[in-house]
Amino acid sequence: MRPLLGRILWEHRVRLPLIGLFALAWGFLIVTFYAYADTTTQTNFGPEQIRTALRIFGGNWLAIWVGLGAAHPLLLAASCVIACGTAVRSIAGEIEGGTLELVLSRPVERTRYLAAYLVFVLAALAGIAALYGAGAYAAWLIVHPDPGSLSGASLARASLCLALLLWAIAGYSLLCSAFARERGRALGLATGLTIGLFAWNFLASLVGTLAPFARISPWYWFNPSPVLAGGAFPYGDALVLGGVAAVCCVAATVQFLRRDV
Amino acid sequence: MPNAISTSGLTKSFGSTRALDGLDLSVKVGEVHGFLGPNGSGKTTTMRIALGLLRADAGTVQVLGADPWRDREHRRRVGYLPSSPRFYERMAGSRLLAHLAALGGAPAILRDELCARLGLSAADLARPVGTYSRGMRQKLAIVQALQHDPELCVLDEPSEGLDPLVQEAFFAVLRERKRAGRTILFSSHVLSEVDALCDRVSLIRAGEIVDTRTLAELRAGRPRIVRVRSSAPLALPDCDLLESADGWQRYAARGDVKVLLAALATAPIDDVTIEDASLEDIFLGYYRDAP
Repeated sequence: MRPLLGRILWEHRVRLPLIGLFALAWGFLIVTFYAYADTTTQTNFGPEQIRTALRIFGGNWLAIWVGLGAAHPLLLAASCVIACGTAVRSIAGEIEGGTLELVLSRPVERTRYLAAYLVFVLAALAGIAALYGAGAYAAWLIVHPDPGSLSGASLARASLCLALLLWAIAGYSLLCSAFARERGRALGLATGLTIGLFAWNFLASLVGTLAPFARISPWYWFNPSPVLAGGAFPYGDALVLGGVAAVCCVAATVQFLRRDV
Repeated sequence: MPNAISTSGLTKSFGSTRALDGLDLSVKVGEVHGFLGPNGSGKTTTMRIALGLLRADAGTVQVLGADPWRDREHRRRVGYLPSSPRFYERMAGSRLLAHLAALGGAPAILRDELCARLGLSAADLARPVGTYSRGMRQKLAIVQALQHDPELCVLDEPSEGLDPLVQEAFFAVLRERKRAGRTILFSSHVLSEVDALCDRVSLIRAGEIVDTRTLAELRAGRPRIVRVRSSAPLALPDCDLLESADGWQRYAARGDVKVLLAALATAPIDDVTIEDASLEDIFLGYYRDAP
């Protein structure tokens, strides 16, 4: 598995540090911007329904900001380069590129091949989530915004929630890849699902009649703000997101073991 | 002599298209086996099943005594050159060769020699593969397939894109590998290279092997080609008319040469040439009447 991992790391030698740096800077900027914003800006943003929903989680606006930063489309887009892009490349991308036959004509087990990609994707996404938390924590230590508070432990727990969300995205992207022959088709499907499910969750939070159906979106199960405000770790949400990731990865592996390349 | 590759009743379909239809192939250890057939006849599918990349719908296949779909250890002893090979484009050639050797788990004992003989310089190998020409990619593909001196080489149209000088160097490498006891299965459209390299050939048509013979057997059974200039088609004994154009007719003659000459002596002809059939004529004979 080491040569495979080495090659995947080499391919991401520029991309991954850049995304990591962005996550770090994004976390730092969210807290810094909050620190220098006036009270109105700190507490008055987005549609009324969203603000109302957020207030349910308590009055720690800094926690809400950092939680929103974690679910922001910019961070999501950067993370999806790995969560969707690399996961899709692992099977459909390498089949289309003609490189998978070179690898699998050697004594490389398909499970090991896929495991190398999974190890990379899961670790990279966990790293991105951790860097976001680290950036926010660094800013908290430096600028000490007021009002609000953050702790290293709550940021670590929130980062784990973010990692679980990204793993779920990577899981269904891998599943798309396992069933496709063309990278473009798999990537289109995975990206479309990600954007659609994100938008669906947002829409469902605005329109009351849609609210019960928000559960089909992974974002419904991603609520870092209460954790950041010192609440208990949401084991139920984590189980759903982790379960989606695990089931999708297992299904993708089964399909990959059976399919022609 | 044991078989390096043996398939029996191999069947494979892609949707409604039947690529292989009960294919029986045997490649003996130590031979150079040519695999010939028109485009879409099933050559690449057979090779990819033999490498465990595709799963057969029915039938059995053994490669170096192993089931290629289930087993993987035997692949250390196999080298594969795909048709139209593609690589990691941003990787330098040397890095790619090292990576593929590491995946293969066998030392690349022939890499330097092969690079030198095929004309891949250190400067070439330092460049990303994406900058390579078609010919250089093919050379790289040959090196990656043979660098670990595999017992069995599966080469899918290996000389595509090579210039004549490099082709000759490549054929010399294959002859050396054969002398070293290695088995080579290669598909080709170029009959001259089949003639130059192969011990036996298998001809495939519409997913079935239509004939497997040694080149000596093929040559022994080949017809004479009789070219006659005449104003009208002739009825020559044991001759099949191949084509007629510009006042010349070409016949494939299989019978007794004395009877043929006697018939020609009395026929209304202006000119005649008689020559051995080329391998091309023999192979085309298998496919001329194909559905």
